[in-house]
Amino acid sequence: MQAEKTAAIPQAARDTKPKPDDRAGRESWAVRYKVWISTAAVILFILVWEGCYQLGWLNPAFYSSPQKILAAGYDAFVYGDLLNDLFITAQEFVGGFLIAVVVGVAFGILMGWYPLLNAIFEPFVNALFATPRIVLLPLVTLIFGIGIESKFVLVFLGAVFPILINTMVGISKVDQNLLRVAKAFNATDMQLFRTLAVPASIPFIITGIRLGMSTSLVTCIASEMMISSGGIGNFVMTASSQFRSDQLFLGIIIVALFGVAMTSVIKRIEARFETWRVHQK
Amino acid sequence: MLPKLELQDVTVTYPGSKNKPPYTAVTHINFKVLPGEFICVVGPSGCGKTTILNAIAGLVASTQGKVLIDGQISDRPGRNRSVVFQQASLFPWRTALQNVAYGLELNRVKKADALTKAQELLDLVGLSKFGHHYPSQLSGGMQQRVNLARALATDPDILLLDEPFGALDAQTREFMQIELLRIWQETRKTALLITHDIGEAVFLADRVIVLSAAPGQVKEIVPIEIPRPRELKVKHSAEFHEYERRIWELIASEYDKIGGAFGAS
Repeated sequence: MQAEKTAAIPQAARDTKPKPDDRAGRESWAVRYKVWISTAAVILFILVWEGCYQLGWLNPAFYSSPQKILAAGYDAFVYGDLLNDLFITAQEFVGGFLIAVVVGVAFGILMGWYPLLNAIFEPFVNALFATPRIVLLPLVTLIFGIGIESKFVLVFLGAVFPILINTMVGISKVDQNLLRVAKAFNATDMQLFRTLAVPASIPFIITGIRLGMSTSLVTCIASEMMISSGGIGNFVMTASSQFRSDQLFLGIIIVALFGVAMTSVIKRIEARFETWRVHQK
Repeated sequence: MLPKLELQDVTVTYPGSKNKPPYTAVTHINFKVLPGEFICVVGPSGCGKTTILNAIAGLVASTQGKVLIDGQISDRPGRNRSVVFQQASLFPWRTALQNVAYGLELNRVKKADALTKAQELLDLVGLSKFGHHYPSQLSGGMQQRVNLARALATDPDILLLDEPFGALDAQTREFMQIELLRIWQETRKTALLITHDIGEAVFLADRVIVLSAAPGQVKEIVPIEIPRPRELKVKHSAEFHEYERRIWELIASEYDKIGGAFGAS
């Protein structure tokens, strides 16, 4: 499900280029003032929420209010351990993810370029890719303990396969027309690899990184929620067990903001390499 | 005079597979091309035109016979030939300038020298100011000019063109034909162009090689004795129409043989 959902993003991202025909004329002011309208919608949502809460329409046991969440945020950052929790999650996520990028790209290139390596490793890669990595949590916890190390490993496992598989596909499915050009210019194998396979696979690698990021973020938070001694997932679980709906919402909002920030970084990188995509007719 | 390029009894058979019998694309092809000559190859569709070009380029091995360049057997790609493919096939991640420099880069020419040379070629094809554009920012005609410049950059003796203007609209195509003749005359290359457009072949060529239906054989070689430099208006002369009619009839008779609805008689 996760993969399906996120797989739809590049199409949408590509459509963000203004198209003169389809929306022009029809509520064009909404297109023009999009940023303002979006900002106003968010502010209105927060106001309505706060208003409903103040009027007593929301059960305070389950729902918090923006004001209370802000206060809880201040407390948690200044007096509590939230900063520490964030630091733990950041370490797990960034560390595991960066290593997954390096390993995924390297192995993806090797498996895409050398059919022998592909034949040997593909069954393992496919099996692990198809397995929701969270099922490995108990095993990984047994081996690495309940601390940062086990989350680090799970983040790595969550991110590495989409990156590896996309890199592999990008390297192996070289555009036949371009291959003919390179061959007609008498390119050596190494030159084919360097001037054709690698640049052609960059958009695939970025897609893999985006998919890997969303899976590994899920894996990271979920494993913290189930077995851990710290991290933002742990913070959310603790808040829930103590019926602290303000802290619970705070945790959710922080995770959401983190996800949004990461997605927008990747979108920018993707847009930068958009022209690299081989457009096949 | 020693021919620049010679095909001696060339046959190309593609190996079959489980569900596919072997397929002979062209058989017993013989012709010679003199240095600086412009040859066009026409024939019914599927007669193996592109196979001949690929065999000369060294991209396809001939099963029988040989390809000679300057009297030497040639069976793999080499620097003395360049190919202009039907699809512009530009590297989308390279600018026009970097695309033109591609062949030089593979030949390990110093980067600065390669880019200088590439710029000269862009000047030659009339794209001086578009060096820093990516292929996606160029029109089809411009892409094809970059493609041509890329082929010329390595300074080959022989230029092989595989329906280079097939995907362009009629007006752009005529413009490109004029451009190609100008460039060919300036660079004095030997050129072999595959086309399905009889008018294009007559307009460009010194000699037109007409192939038979598959498996392709040389049916006839028609010398075009229209004086050069040729201008577009020559396409409306009686002489030109006569050549067109003659080649059309040659091809149409092939379609008759294979039961096509060409209606030559």
